[in-house]
Amino acid sequence: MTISPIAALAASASDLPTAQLEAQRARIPFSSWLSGQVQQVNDRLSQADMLTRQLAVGDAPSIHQVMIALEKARLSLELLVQVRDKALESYQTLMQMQV
Amino acid sequence: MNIYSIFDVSAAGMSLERMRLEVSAINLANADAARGPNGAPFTPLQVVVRPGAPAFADLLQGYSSGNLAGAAPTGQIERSDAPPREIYEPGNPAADARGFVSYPGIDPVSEMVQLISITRAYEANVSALNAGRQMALKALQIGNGL
Repeated sequence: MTISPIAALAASASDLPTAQLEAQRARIPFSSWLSGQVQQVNDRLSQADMLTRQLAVGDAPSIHQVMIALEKARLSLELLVQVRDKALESYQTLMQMQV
Repeated sequence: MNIYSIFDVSAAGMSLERMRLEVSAINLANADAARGPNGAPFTPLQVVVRPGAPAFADLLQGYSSGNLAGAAPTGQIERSDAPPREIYEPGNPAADARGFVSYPGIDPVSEMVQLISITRAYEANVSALNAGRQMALKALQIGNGL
């Protein structure tokens, strides 16, 4: 007797949330998307700042939450810097193009 | 999947270990509390850990939506039903008619072992978080090497 392997569910591409995401993304201009992301990074940084102040005055929820907020802020900032580097690099490549 | 969900899961684990540490500290501090306000010894506490109850949609999609925070464990402080230790101390004002004093059913040795286990579990959570962070930082270096 052979046991047949479990077959994957046949989900059509339109059922997956990624398809909706792609459609939404097409409508948002890059500049507003970027400023939204910058705003998010800023929010994370200010939240980490607030938690650090709370820790300093002694009413932080716990040390690990402060550290995790700091790490999240740092990672977001790092990602933002990398995206900016890439964008700047491609801009400079275009500007140096021979006409 | 979102890298921050790893952070949230590890944070939940760390909060849980902190709660267990607090309960162990309370138990150790009250190990000799023989007579409370109602005449009974201190009731030992324990943390009961329950697995997280993920949302139905997350279960259905096999966590593919990246929302792992629902799978984080939750802890609840409950009274332990360990019987009190009875020690013969006829001179103690808290002694009963037979001369025995009821101390809370707390074993300081097993509480100390518990402390070691809590510390190691906390460290394991920190290690998992650091691994996730390291992976994210490495991913940000993609394309930088010449």
